[in-house]
Amino acid sequence: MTLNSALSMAKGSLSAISKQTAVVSQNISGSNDPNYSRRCASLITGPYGSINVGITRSADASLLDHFIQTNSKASCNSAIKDGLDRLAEIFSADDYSASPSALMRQLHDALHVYATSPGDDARGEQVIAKADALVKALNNGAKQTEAIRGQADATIASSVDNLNAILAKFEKLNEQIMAGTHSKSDISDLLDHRDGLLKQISEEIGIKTLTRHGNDIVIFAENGVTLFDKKPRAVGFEPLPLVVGGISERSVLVDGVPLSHETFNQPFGTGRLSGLLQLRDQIAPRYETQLDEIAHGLIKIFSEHGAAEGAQPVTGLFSWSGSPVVPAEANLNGLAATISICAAYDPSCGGKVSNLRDGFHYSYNEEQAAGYSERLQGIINAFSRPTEFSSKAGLSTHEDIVGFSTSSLGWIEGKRKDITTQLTYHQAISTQANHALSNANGVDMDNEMALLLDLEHSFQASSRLLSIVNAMLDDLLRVA
Amino acid sequence: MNLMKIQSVSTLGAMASLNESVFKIKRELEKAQREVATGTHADLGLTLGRTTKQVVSLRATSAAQQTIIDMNALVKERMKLTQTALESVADAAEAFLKNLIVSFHSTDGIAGLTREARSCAEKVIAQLNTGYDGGYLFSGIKINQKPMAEYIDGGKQQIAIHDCFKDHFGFGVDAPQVNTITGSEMKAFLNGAFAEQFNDSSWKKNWSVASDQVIKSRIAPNEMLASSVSANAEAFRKAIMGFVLVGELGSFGLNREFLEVLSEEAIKHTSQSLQLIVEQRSLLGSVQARTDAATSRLEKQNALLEQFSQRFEEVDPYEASTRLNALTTQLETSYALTAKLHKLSLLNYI
Repeated sequence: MTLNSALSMAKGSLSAISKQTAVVSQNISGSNDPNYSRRCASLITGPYGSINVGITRSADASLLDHFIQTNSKASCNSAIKDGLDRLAEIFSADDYSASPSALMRQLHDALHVYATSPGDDARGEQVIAKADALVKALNNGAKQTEAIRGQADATIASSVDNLNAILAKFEKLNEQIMAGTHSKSDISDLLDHRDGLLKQISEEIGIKTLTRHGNDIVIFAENGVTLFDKKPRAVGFEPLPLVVGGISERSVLVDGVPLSHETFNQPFGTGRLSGLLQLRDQIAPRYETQLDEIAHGLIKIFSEHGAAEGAQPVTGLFSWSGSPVVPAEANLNGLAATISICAAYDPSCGGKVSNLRDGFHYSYNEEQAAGYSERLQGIINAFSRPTEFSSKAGLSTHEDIVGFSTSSLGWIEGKRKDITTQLTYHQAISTQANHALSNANGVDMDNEMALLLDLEHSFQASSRLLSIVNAMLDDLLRVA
Repeated sequence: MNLMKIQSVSTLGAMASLNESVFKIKRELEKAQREVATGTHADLGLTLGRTTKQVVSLRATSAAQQTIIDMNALVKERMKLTQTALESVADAAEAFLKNLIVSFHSTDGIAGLTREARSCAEKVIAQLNTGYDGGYLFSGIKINQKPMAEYIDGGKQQIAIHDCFKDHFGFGVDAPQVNTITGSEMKAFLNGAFAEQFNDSSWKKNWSVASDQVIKSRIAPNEMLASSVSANAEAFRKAIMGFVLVGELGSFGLNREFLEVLSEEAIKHTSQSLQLIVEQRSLLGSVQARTDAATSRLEKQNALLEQFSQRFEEVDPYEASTRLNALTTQLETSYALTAKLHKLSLLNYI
């Protein structure tokens, strides 16, 4: 060993320390980036006492994977919960006082009051007013549910666009990473960025990843369809309009394979897309069907039946676009949106309230008596008589109409409670996974500062070494 | 190195968890505040889930029953008025019957009795025309029509009776031949042509426009009862028949035998009518009793329903305020912790 080699080693150490300091400062600058994985600068001793700095990225792939999966479940639940909250909000205000079920009860009570004094038109007008409120509530409910479906559809569209945009970015990054891996350059920043993109994708749709040779990542959607393999697969949206009332035909296509909620392996779905599909194709249509069934029940209850043989039942107070025919089972679609009050009964439209008491199409009141209440009592009885409802509504098929409409409220609130519990659970897990990931990969500022102190000392020692060797060489030269 | 990594806590993670806990507590706090202020669940639907159905339906049932209770009050008032009117009719018939027995034997008595009979008939008709709530009590379901026609001299009822007399005997009521009518002839007339004047079709033609159908009221969700009496009831027809018999025919009959028959028939009809009125009153009385029973039953049920739905809707105020206090403390701790941890950095020591 000579003074010269001591000098060059001190120089090497200085450059290694400055490289390490650079890594520390990079760590500190990345400490607030959730996608940043901490860099670790390790010293590698080379031949002839040379020192190199190796940079490793402390990313934990399994933790990331766990976070991605839990995050997409929470994101699915959150999409469904938003939708259910809005569906429930349509009628839940003021303790459900404007819900079809409450208004129907009020209508029933108003009928009772009218039946007690059938000669009093003012009381009849109360019945018409309640019926009008009920019709408006049903119309509004159907309209809002349709709007929620429409919004879900629009969000699906933007979700698909977002997914395509992310996948395009992913393609570029993946290429750069593969090239970088090949040429052994520092690709840590690119890897951070790519992990961030994976997190973003997992929010839209549940994914599984597979890392291949050369840091190449393949992404599969939760239902097994390939989303990305060297090139992104096209995620498309069939450009068909929404079918009113029925199940929408417009599905999301991943690589040509239609994506529906059923195609997800997870029972509760993964990713926003799955939640939105569930909302658009299952929950909202079912709620609409329930409203339609309520409207159908009302039309049936108030329909008039002739005494003569072969007389067809005719719609009464509540009418629809196809009046005077009483709608059959199959004809229900959109009934809640189009149900209306027949003008013949509504005094504000030139009708007569007494038509409700006596019948309009068929005359029930043979004596033309003002105190005739049999028809009204018959209607009141029909409210508590169980009738048949379509099984498509997902509620009891044999129930009275008031019971059915309250069941509908119970159904939506029950679903809302379930999904909120699910969301709370999955959010907790996802938060925990995020903490674990952040703790494993993230930067601890104190740790970096301590490291910096260390490096400062080493730098001081090395520079002191340099000045001492320098002094020694000076002494030597002076002697010579 | 590996060991250190497991134990390490990232700065971002530590701060995020602080933020999250503050956010979560704040949300809970808002909910607790609302529950303490209102005494009910902050979000009923979310708290109860499927049970919401029961609460809504309990509330609705209770409202429906309240409507029935309110309407029963109206029905009861109508029945009470009907009873009063029936009582007046019975009183009139009873007084008339008494006079009939006492004063039929003197000529003076008969003249007075004839007048009384007519005024009784007018009184009963006035009672049957009692109005209520813009309608009439005794017109059956034709509530907006006055059930009985006025009974006046020269009215259609009088003309019809006189005509039928003329048809039967061949001479009018004011003809001198009336004195020649024997008791048996009179009896035949009274039980034949005269009685026909009070059968269904003649009664509805000359006397009453009321409907035979009486008003039925729903006094409980599944209980419908007849709550009114029609002016066409046999009781009223018999009463009027008795009055008219004396009022129209008593004035000219001076024949002893004739008068005997007349009084006999009048007593028969009036006492029959009295009996029928008593029956009507007790029938209506039983409906009144059932309505009272139904109302008090519904009131008790309603009180229970109220309790049930409150049990679902209300939060325990003690629990809610305790929770509020606990959350406030927790939030304060969280704030203090955040401030402390932010200060706790190596940066402050080097």
